[in-house]
Amino acid sequence: MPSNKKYFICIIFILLLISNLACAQDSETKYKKERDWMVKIQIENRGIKDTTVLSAMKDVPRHIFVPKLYRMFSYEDRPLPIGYGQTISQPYIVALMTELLKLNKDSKALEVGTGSGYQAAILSKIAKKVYTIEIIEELHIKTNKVLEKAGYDTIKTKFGDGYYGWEECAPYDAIIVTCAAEFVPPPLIKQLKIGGIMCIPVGPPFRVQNLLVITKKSEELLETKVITQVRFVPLIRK
Amino acid sequence: MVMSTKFILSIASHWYKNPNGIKKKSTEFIQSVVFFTSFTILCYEIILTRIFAITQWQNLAAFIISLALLGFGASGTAIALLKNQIDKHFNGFVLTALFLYPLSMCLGFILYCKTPFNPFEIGIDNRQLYYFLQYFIAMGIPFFFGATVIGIALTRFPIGKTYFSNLIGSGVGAIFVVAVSYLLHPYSILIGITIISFLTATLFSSNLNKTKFIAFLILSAVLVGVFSLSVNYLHLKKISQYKSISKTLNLPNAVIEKERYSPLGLVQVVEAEGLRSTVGLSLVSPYEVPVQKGIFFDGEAMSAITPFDGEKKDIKYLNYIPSALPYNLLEDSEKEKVLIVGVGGGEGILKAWLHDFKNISGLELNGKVVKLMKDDYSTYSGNIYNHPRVTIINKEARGFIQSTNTKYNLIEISMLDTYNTAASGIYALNETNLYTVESIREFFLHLKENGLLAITRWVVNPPRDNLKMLNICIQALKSLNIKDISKHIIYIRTIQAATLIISKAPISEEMINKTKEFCKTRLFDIIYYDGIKENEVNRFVKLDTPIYYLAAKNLLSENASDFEDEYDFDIKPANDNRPYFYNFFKYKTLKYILKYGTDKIPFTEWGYLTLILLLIPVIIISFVFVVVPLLFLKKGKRGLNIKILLFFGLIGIGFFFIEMPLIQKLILFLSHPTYSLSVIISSLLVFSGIGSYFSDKIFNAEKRILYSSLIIASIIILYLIVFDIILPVFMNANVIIKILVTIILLAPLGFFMGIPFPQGLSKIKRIESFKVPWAWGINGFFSVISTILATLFAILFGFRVVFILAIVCYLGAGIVSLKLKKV
Repeated sequence: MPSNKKYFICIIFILLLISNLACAQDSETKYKKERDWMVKIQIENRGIKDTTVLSAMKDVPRHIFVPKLYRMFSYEDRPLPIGYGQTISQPYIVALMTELLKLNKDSKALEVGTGSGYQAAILSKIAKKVYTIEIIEELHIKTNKVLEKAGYDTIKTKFGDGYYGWEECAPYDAIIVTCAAEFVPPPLIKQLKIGGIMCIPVGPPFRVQNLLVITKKSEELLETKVITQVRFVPLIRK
Repeated sequence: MVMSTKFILSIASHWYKNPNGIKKKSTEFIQSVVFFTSFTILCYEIILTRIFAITQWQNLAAFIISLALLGFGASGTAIALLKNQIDKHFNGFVLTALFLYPLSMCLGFILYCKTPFNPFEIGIDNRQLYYFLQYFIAMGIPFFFGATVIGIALTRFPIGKTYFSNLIGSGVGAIFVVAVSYLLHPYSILIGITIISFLTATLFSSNLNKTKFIAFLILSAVLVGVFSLSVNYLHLKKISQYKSISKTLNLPNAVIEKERYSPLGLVQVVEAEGLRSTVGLSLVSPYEVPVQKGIFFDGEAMSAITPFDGEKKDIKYLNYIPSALPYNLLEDSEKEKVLIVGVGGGEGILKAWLHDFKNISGLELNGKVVKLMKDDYSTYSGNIYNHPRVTIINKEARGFIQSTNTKYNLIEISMLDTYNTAASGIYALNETNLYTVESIREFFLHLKENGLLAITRWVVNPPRDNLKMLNICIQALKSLNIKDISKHIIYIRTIQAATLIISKAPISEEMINKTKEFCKTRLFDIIYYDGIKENEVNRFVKLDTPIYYLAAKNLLSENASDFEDEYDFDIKPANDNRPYFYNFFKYKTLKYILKYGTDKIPFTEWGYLTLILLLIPVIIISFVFVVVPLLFLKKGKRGLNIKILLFFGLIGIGFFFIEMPLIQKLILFLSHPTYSLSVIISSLLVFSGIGSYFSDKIFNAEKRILYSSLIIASIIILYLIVFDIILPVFMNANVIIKILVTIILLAPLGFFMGIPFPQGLSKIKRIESFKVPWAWGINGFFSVISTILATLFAILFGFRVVFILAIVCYLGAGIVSLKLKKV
């Protein structure tokens, strides 16, 4: 009987393992389906045409950047809280901002406000190198682990005040600021290449914001375009 | 508070020592219970508005008044339904209500703090309506129990005296809570209110026996202790994560360094790594912004304190923001006197300093901020507040400018609200006396010959507040018969801010050239100057259409009113009669919202539509809690009498149609909403109480109400005429003098407003006493609705119309009162 009991326990264990794997497989398939649906309905239908952006949005598993508690809402058309008063942006806004940066496979991009790491992951699918800075240390450590685990090797992260940019690696073809600011920090403008593009949402989080694109025509001339008004509202609060 | 506690205890001990010497239900004994219950209800109501403003948003404060009145209405209905049982078990009912009152206050407050309500998500997250209902219940129940005590007393004891205690208690409460706000944090005051309420319950229990008295005393002490601990340990002081301070506190090493409180609000100074604030800094600024400290007002409206050691190079970035334009337009010889409205952390002073103004005057309403800057942060900020060149005036802007004869080279009104408040529309239902035609006219008249008035505001798209501001200025210049108004205006914008300059003298060619140069070197866009060409606008910060330029051109043309009508938002100039600058909603806006959804215009900016939407559930809830239960009264006791309904409905509406516009109108005179609210409420209540006390002694009994109503109507007409003559005389007086003037002005009105209600109740009590709580409930129902209607009508038609409607209500009530004897 004792040996039977052992066999029985082993069988139960194997069955549990298989069912768990099957579930995981199921979840991955489910997430993939949701992601494809997200790209089609929320992104393509709203006018995002850049195929590299659409492809990146299809590839990057958004749910791994979302806290477990909210993972089921990962592919909904909303930003979600990630703690520390920050959010992971609405998928459409991520796609729109990425498209506005006009990246190619040789681009070097700087992101100010790493947050969940999702935006950096999307950028890394298109650009050659992505540098990202986060001012909240705990968030920086947490996101760094997620990015490392998921194998995003072309992303370099740094803990620090984004106001000063990342001068050692400048100039950049594109700078994306993912946190609302009262003004555009002068060091960031200096670190942008001539012809480079900066994308920045201006306004408080959770409210109506202006999405701006700044193009550096020369050292003295920058052209700013107000793209649209966006509103960041989390589905569920902390 | 300590005095009150001692007073209650002395009465309690006296009665306890002489148990046989007291008539259990004696009028005097109940008067003190009614006094303290009314006292705490008013304290609770006002302190809730403060706590709402700190943890959530000020705009929700108006909802507390409706809630309190709903509690009163529902209590009347409950008393009507339970009248027989109350008659049999008077002590039991009163004691239960007295005890549940503070208990529900504690539990309701905990529930309030734990409810994740956020007005910005209404229309997006359906759960918000449920949370709103939860708020309603959590906050409303204490008012119900408190009002039940007063209602029972009114049905059993002489109405005049009981109503007198009720009103005097409320009036004293309104003043008391403002006075202690200088000494205690709002949370401590709330705990104090629960202590007084529990002591009132204990006081009443002394009327029973020794054991019960001691049991209630111990139980009250335990509950107060548990509640006090809960406030600290259940994180009840947590403020909304959507407020600016919450976001700042997420920055590394963020800490609240100083905290000061007063009736004007909670002031907190935050230090954090990476905290920098300056609005609209040029993209090509060669100068950087240093790490600063932030002063927050009720968790919002951050004003930066910039580290300064007297070196101009550290503040040169201040010449690369749009509000620096007027400083660049003035000649050196004209940099003599500048007035900065709302100096806060001192950015405006530093800007004037950078440009070598000889005499810098800064207006700051909040004395706590002035003290912080002069004492605690004097070293950090370069001691600028104490410098001989700088004069800080601790006064409200309108009040000061109306009272001074000084003329200035430059008057600057910059960024007095944060982007949060500007973009979110949370002030949509709040009045402001700063942005009105009359206000701008006053500022303009205080400019020197070549002086400039500069107003900088956030850029919000689609444009609305900036256009309304321009329209107000145009209207103000028109009212002064200024010719060629377009020659007096320069308007520029950046990514985030727009600066409007109004010049006393026509703008010279040289100033236009300076403006062009200023904008070109900073990549700012010019919106308007006289003679501007279309290819000069929308160059650096490109919008799909040059809407600012087109709007300015239209507003300065003869077709201005057509443009106003066709525009999607209400950009008509605000004036002192309708000082709702932040209300941009009009019928056409609804079409815009339907087209673009709440993504563009959040629910909080729906202006008076919010009131209409709020009115529907309030009517339903009030009807369900106040009127429907009355239908279950036994036949013959239903008292569904049209005359009672009309009379108590009309005086319910009339009272608030007088009180609410008075509060709003006198904000301008008393310089702050909190002073206005407390002084007017307490004056009206105390004098109404006195009126109620003497109501049996004046006029012929039959026509007492009619005569009182006629006098009330006459006084209001008189107010409409004399307010604008008397108030300006005292505009520069000390706030104490202003309060005294207000009290004297309101005394006769309050006295006569205290007569109709108790006299009406007395009339029906003589005939059918069971109808007293019914009438109390009906009055409450109409009062709830009237609080919302008063604001709605003020936005739509102005204060004068609301006053006129109040006159109609009182006159109507006076006529109906003649028929009450036949009830």
